Amino acid sequence: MSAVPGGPALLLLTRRELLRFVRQPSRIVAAVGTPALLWLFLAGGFADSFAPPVGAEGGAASGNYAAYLLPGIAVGVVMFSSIFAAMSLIEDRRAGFLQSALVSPAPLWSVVGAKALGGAIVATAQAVLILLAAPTVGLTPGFAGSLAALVAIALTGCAVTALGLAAAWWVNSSEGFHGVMNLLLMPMWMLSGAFFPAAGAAGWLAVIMLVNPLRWCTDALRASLEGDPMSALWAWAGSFAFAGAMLGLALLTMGRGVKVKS
Amino acid sequence: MTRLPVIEVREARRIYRARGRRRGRTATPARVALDGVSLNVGAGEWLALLGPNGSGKSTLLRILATLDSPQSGAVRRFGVDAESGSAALADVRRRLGVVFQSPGLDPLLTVRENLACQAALFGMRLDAGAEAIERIAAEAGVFDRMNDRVGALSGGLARRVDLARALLPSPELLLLDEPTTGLDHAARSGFMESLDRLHSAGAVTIVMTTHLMDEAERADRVVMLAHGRIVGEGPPGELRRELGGAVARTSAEHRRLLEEAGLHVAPARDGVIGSGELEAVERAASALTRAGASFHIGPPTLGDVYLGLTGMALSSDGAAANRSAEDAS
Repeated sequence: MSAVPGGPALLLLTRRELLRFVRQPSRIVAAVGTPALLWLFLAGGFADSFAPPVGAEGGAASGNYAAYLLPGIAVGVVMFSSIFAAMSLIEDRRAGFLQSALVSPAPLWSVVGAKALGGAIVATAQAVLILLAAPTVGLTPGFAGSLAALVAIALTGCAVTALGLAAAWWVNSSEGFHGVMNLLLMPMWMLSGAFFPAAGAAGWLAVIMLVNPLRWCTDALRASLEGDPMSALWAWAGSFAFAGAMLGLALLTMGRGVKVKS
Repeated sequence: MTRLPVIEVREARRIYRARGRRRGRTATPARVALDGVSLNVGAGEWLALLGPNGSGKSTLLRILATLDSPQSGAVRRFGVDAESGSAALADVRRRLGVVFQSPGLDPLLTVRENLACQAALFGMRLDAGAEAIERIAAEAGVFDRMNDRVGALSGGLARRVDLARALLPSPELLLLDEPTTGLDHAARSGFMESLDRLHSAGAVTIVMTTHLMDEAERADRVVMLAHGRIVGEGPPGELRRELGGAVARTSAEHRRLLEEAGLHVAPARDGVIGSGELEAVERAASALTRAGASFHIGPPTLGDVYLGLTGMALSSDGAAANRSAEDAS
């Protein structure tokens, strides 16, 4: 006899992640509220002093800082949401739910996959909430652009959630995990082109921004929101590669050793 | 009765590596959790692994539950070697039910949703799973709480749901790691009674770790662990009889009186304890009375057996709780 089919386990466990989300309204406030406030304040604060350099990404809407900032803020929402999703792994480990799942005959990929999938769906849903504000700042992506934006956000969600899960696997406490995530994700976000375009940044910073995977996600999303997703082909390739690599990393990390708090 | 071995463990050794080396010092030094443990468990048997914290019983249970493996030695469950590949491992897990120290339930989900997750993890078909969930919830006495979130249940009730979760896929082997941790006395006896019923039905083999002797008393056989080694093994009644007919407890200053009466004396947490035949204990009691000493005599408990074998108390709180329960009855 072999392992039980992983499909039903994947579905039920993903459903569990979604139920957990809707039953903790504070998570929505924390993950959407902070970036939304940041958007409001920064966009308002820089409204009249922001002028993008020539050749900067963000063509049509680049003169409007609120519009420039929006894709990066959406990526930030995904990031905060994924951190919460990964933190639930630490909780699961402590509460014993994860241990029970790990001693079941369901394949490991279904347990890990459900965490990543559930986390990505939740992150995407929250980012969509903030992207609903796009038309108010002159971004009208149209149907194809909206669909592409959804894909870009989902890819970012998968990638960052998987990265968070891999990190959470090795950290024993929520406090420690916060530290690791702040050190890793905050700089990635700051340098993702969310707040300022690479074209106007110092040379060394622009180089780091070029190889920052979160930058690729932000660029793909920005191009989609401007209604021309195909203008960022390299960013799309990078986003797909980032999501694939991070899912692989999470599976590899969690598959290598069953590490549960005893 | 001939019992087919459900579990065979041979010379299992598990060492936790030192961790957190910093400036030449280790934050957590290497620790031998299991030091050559061998044991068999027969089908339908109820085995209690008894020992204080750090004795290796939880490590052994985690190994049996496929969450960990020994660095040397062999572990077979249902006749399958631990290293037989993922298909064989899944087959072993399909026949296992595990209850951990902290409930394997999501407090944000309802009882029904938690059980549905378990059904999916064990590949149960939707219709069969739903039927089994209703049946197991009724058996556990939580049928009327099916749509309540687990977080809203009392500790005792959540434990019963956790046991129901483990039993849902009808396991052949049930592993329990200190399953009554954090429960009050009433909830604890309720939980142990459901294990009694399960055991009498005879369909499942039970291996349970505990540091509480009254829980171990209910098992068919007790394996006592200290520092990762087996120090005593046998049916609870037999283990107690080996210690003698009775024990006398008194303060350390009266040790000599116990020895003179012919008792075997060992240090206890709050003084000394002497064990031996009933006549010798009676002699000691007279001597202690004449000396005006305060003392306590009674039949030996598994805690006394453990103390006699290792010189260590099972657990300060557990032993005290059991003693006061006995005194009250």
